[in-house]
Amino acid sequence: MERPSKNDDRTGVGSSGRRAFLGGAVVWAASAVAAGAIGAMVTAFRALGRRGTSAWETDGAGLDGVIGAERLGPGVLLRSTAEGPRAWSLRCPHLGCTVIRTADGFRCPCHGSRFDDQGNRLEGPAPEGLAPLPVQRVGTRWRVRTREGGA
Amino acid sequence: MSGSRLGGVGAWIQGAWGRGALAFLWMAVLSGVALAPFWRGGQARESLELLDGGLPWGWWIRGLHVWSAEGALVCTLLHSLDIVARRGEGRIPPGAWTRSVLLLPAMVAAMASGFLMRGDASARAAREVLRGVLATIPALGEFLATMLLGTDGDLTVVGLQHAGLWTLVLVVVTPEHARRTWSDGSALAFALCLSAALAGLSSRPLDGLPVDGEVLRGPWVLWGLQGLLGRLPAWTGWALPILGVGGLALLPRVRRPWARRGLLLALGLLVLAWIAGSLEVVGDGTP
Ligand code: FES
Repeated sequence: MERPSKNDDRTGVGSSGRRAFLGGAVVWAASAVAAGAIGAMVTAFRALGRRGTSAWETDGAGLDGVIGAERLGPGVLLRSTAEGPRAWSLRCPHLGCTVIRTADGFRCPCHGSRFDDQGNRLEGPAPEGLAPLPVQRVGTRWRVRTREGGA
Repeated sequence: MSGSRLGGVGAWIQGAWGRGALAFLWMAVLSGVALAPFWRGGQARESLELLDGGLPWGWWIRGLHVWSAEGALVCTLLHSLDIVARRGEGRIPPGAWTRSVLLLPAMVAAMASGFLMRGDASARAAREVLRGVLATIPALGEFLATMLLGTDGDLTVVGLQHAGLWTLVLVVVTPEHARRTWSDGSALAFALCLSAALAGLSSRPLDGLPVDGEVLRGPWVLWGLQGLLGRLPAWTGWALPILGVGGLALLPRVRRPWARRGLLLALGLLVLAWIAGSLEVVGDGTP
């Protein structure tokens, strides 16, 4: 078998080494750009999930001054109490199913977590009670903030 | 009957599940194409109600779609069991085996996303449960949940993943695995007749808000998971399926008989846990 001369060999190694170096640099640069792009996408998606504040509004008629009166909104329960209006999220703190109002509290139809009338956890896989939501008076209406964060 | 004749019949029966899976898959794809123009991501439930009650044969085509998808999954599961029981995984190139194993979760994902597209109470609950499970994946969880399930009430993203991602994967990888695009005439006729009959005989009603005492369990392909999530932490919802699929994918590389038996035992236990989770009534239903 013919052996390449030292000179040929050195030239070959040199040029393939440069090529390998450039190739490696391109791969690393592309990986860095891809990682940056993925990072940016993840950040954008996370921000999207948390964006803004949502609210649900309802007329105060039938609630004002009627202690114990309740109204259901989308994923929200609003109750008139002696201390003022109170609201809870109906989203189960376990995995997010919407809980059902029962005679003495709330029950999650997905894995059976139970909550008392005040939204406190009684049993089941839910790690905590139903989240209380801030309620605001706006004229004759009540506004419940259903999602935190953002503006 | 001659030995060669018997061998031919045996081979035909052995291949039946695979051919059935391919036939049911095409039936599901074609009926899905017929349904697609009528489905609206922003009004998923209303569009299905229109299909069920307002369009001639709409309910039947929807039934055909659902039953043929379920037929494809059942045939694929039986085909996989048949292969493993005959130690056939060693005769398939490792890459081809891995791709074939990945067809199982792709099929479950296609069916689960199809179920979410109903937009009714069970589908909404299943979407929240899946979102909660995906969100526990470190670093990528929220991204994946948003990408696969969308962010709000609009189900367009789910529909896109159903038709554009999972179905595409199935339509590309299944024929590659089977080394043929279409199944044979008898399998196609069987798939069509069975799905058509089941679609005609049983409706797939949408459900409303559960009343007290009712439980929501999502699509049957996720029942076991739904049951297990009542007892196990949410991250097991993705870790256990990965373990199961990973174990099955590794099977041809496990050469020693005792190791193969051990792996099969572990996979069997996972399946048993899945079945136990499916049989458990989630939430005891007492007020
Ligand atoms: S989502 Fe409510 S108990 Fe699991």
